[in-house]
Amino acid sequence: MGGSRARAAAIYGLAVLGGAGTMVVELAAVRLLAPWFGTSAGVWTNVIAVVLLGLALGYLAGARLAARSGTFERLALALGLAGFFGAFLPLGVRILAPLFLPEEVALDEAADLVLWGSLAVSLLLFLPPSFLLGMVSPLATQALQETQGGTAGRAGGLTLGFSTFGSLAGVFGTSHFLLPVFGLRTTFLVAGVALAGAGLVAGLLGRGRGRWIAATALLGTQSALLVDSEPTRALRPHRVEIARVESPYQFLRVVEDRSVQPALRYLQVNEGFDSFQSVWQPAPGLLPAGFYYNDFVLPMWWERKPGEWKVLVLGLGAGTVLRVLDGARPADTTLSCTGIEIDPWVIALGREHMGLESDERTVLCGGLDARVALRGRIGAFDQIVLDCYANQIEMPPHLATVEFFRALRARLRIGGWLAANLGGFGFDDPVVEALAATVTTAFDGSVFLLRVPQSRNFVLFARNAADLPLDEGGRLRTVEGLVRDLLGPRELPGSFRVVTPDPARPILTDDRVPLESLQLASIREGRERLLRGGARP
Amino acid sequence: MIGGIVCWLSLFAGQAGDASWKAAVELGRFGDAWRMLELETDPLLRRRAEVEALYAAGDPAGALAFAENGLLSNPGDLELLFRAVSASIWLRAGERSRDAYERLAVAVKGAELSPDDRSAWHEALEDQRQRIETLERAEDARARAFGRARLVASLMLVLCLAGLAFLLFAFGHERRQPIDSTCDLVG
Repeated sequence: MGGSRARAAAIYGLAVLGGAGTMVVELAAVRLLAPWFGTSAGVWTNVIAVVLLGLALGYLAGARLAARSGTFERLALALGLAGFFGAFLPLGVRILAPLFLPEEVALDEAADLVLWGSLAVSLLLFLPPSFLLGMVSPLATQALQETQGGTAGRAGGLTLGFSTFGSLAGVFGTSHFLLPVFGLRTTFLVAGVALAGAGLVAGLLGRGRGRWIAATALLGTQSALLVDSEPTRALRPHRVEIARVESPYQFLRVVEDRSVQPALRYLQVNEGFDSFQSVWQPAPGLLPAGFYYNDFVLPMWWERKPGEWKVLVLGLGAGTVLRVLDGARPADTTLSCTGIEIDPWVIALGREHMGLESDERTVLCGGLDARVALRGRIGAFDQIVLDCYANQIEMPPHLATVEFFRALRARLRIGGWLAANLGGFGFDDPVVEALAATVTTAFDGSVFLLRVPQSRNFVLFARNAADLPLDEGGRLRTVEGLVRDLLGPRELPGSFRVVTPDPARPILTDDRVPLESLQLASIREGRERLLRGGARP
Repeated sequence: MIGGIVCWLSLFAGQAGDASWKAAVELGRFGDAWRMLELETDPLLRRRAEVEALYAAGDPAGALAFAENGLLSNPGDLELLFRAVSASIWLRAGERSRDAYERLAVAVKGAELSPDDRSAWHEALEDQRQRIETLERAEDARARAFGRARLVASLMLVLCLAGLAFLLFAFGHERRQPIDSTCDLVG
């Protein structure tokens, strides 16, 4: 009886490890793909679909194999091989991903490539371990019934219960412990060794060759240590990696571009297209042309309000906005900043490598969602900068609705400014149009959009109950001093547009915010839109 | 980028007549340059200058739109064709840049140019040809990667569905085994 209980406990343990292993593969798989394909909803869907497909096939195959003798041998084989495959997934991605996503692909060229490429890599790499892990539950159920007797329902329920508990542990353990502490490569190695070890236990419980197969697989997983399988894309020439971190949210790295003088540093996040989240240059102030951050300086110069200028930055990143504002402010203005960033690791990297500093005038808040952070901020800011993005192009839907923009307006003083970074391919880009219409509704007035030279960004400006900086001819008011050159290119036709409120235009609301489909349409039509001239008057 | 534009502007310094708009562009005073151009009476010169100003302001889409519009009435104009090629390359539009490049090459061949100008044009053409080829190679690699991804994904999905169908079919046709007599049905 005691032996039977011990065997049953061992089987529960196998079910737990099988469930945990499945979630490690599923969650960390997306992170493995991120340097090539990003972590957009499409990539997540592909990975989840492939894992579910593998599990479905595994359940059926396991059910079929459970009808034959040698259950423990088969369990040993399934777990051992799943561990072996799992340990080599980082190397597999590094080899296979470049076949489906070549270098030098621009963002607007990559929409279909990302979807099909991530699906192909997922099917090649994540299907086999998912299939093998799917076999564990029916085989464990059979093993339990053979060990303890009882009904199929009892054995199945117990196995499912323990397996799901393992999945739960896998979800939390992967996101909050394994990835941030050990990184991707070690996470897969740990998972591989644990699964192959479980296979060895299953082999020992049986009587056949299973133990030898599992032992071989366990040894095999160790060999993953010997191969360089860092799952990251190669850097471009003259670029050097300064630091890298796996945060609970994303893969982060600081890269220095030494092809320009002075060298620029970029914070890259899950990036498949060599884009970046923050940029740093040695001296604070305006960045070279083409960086949208420069435009956030304009309200201070248009308004010329001496004294304190209070800014709230939502989507602080590693602090580029703060350094640009601080270095390019009028001499009689002092800056007082509050920066909100959802990923505290980004702030840590900013402090360490990108000159981000906090003092009595600069408050940095990490780990807060912009919308949540807004609830706790009372006060009248002179300017709110909105620069919240995920996966290069995705503005979080809850930060794009009329309710959110109304909440922003409520935190601006009368005459205060909203400056938001928008990605798009023209003034008629679906994302740009929808957001501009939404902000006009929230602010009960006109807004204007500036096209950022040499980029695919627009900066949207809105004011709380005050006039836009336009002259009698409807042109942008010029400024003098340090930022005079910023407005030069905007004096040309088609470089800015005033958007007036139009009740007939659809807006984004908390109830309905189809931002993802708008973004997909934006990218798919982006090239054509640009070649038509970017919707100029 | 700006250095290249300045060099390019200087190539045509003698052709545009009034070079003051160029000085304004070089100083980043695009509004002033545009207002000067509104006084230009020759539509071709004005269109060329507008294209240059837009290109220098970092707006390749605008420069391309203006250049192509100008080419409707001046299909063989070297400067507009040159900017159409450059802007298309900037926008990574391989087919469009190849088309404009071929038109430019024909136009240069047929143009009456001094030996120095011809040599400068040939250098410019060669530079553009290389950039277009790089672009086309990238487009080709992308198309091949896309085809490969679609093929692999489709094949794998078909295999999975076949496996699924086989397993379900096998279950449907397997012989029912008698209930194991050792099984404790009461639990």
